[in-house]
Amino acid sequence: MISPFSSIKQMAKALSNKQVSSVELTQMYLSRLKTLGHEHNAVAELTESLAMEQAKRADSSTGSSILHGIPFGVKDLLATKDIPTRWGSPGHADQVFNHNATVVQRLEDSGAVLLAKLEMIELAGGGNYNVANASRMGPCKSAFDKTLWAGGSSSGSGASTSLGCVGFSIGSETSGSIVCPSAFNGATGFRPTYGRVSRYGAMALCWTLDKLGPICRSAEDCGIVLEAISGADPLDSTTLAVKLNLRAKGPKPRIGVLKEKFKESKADACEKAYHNVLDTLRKLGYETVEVAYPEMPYGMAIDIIVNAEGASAHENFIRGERFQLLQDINQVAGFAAAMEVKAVDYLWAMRLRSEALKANSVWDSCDCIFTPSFYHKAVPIDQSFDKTWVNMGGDEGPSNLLGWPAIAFPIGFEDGAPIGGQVIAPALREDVCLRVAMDFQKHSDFHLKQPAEARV
Amino acid sequence: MAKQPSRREILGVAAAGLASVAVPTLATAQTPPTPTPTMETKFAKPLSPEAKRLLEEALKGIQNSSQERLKTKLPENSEPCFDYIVSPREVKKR
Repeated sequence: MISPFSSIKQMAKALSNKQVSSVELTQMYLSRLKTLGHEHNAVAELTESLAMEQAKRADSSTGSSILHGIPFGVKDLLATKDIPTRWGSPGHADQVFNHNATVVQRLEDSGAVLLAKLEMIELAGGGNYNVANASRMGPCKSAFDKTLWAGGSSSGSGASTSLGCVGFSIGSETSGSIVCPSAFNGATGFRPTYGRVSRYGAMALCWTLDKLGPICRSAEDCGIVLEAISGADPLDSTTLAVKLNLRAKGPKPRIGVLKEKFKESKADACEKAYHNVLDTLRKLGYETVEVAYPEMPYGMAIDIIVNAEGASAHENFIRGERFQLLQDINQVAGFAAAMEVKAVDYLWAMRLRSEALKANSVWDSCDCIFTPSFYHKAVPIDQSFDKTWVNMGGDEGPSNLLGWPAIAFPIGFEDGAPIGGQVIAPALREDVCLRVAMDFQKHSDFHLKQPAEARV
Repeated sequence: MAKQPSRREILGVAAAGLASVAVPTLATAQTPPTPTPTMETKFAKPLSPEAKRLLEEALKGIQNSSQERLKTKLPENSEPCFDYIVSPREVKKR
């Protein structure tokens, strides 16, 4: 039997050679989702009957896509026809759409097999959640340590992928929701350029910041999935017509490094891991150069935009009977307060966003930036974040505000739990992110480490 | 026939009107934010005492951002990114 930690190429080859069937792969992953997935609170809804039907169809046909017959899971923020889509929220427990999100439809058209809706932080955490328990199924536990949080808001996507419960998964990011669970579970996640992947059928938290992307076990897998889900969509006017080209050619990209705060953050393990990545890449011929973003309140602008757009997107719910069913009372307070954001504040943030385009000057001296995702391993599940999120660090730059792509991947371990780094590139240059991450993963094995309890 | 008010008089009335709006707004800005009775009517059910306490804190945060953002001056006449579409950036030759 094939390993549940196999790459997409390995699974595709095994399927093509008839060493394994899609039905067998699907049964293996369903079985793991029912045990490991549930134990980690990573599963929102199994789609078993649909999965078996799709797997049988895949086995009895041939497809042109490499994803034909490969089982996957999606964050429960994506609409799936006639299957509950609860957005992680107890207040949306009976929500069912009669259509598929474009991403789900594209994967179905590729012949991939939908195993499950994966748990997430309720309403993608737009109300400023303060506990890991801000989720309908309870706190999602890290694949490597059940006492640690799996990150958010794409919690189940990160955990189930690293646990070998799915072939790959889809997550979403407004500001950190792919990068964070990738870091906390030792997964590789790809946040594409804003507009690269259609958001039709995805819960809106913030129309001008939301992005969908793959969470996988390697950069190579992320590239394969991104190719399948990206592209213009008449149902989402923000999608880009520019075609994705992940096959970068030419000289190796020059890597920018920022002034990091390892010492202040007491981040010894992360500092060691960070320098190991840079040393590895330098040995491979990559050049590095120190860079800095222009100083601007990028984070504040993001907060204001998310508050204003999130309150508007969910206004009916906030004013409705079920609002206070939200699991985390901080989310109740946060969404309620967000209703009071002033128009001038929102417009200031959107004007700052125009100003922030000046940060593109950083690409005058480098082709991408490497920085830690966070300075430490995941935080504990049983304490509020305001107590534990001290010195976590992370990207404070304009990448989300400007819709730049980033690929996040494991770079080491701290007390047995993974720590992550990310490669950020200019808009539309996912090829640069992928090239650097794939080169690093060819010469390291952090992405191949399996959680002890999930090994076969 | 009633005398037509002059432009200056109209502007004077308008200024007084603006002032009457501005004064309570400024006063509000100087007092700690609290969930007002008007705010309560926005929700289908009354907020719990704990939710009200957290709401006060969250409102303070929003008000702080409102003040903090003033430290970053934006250029006159700059425009917001309403329809944010990324554009390719050519890396300069080095």
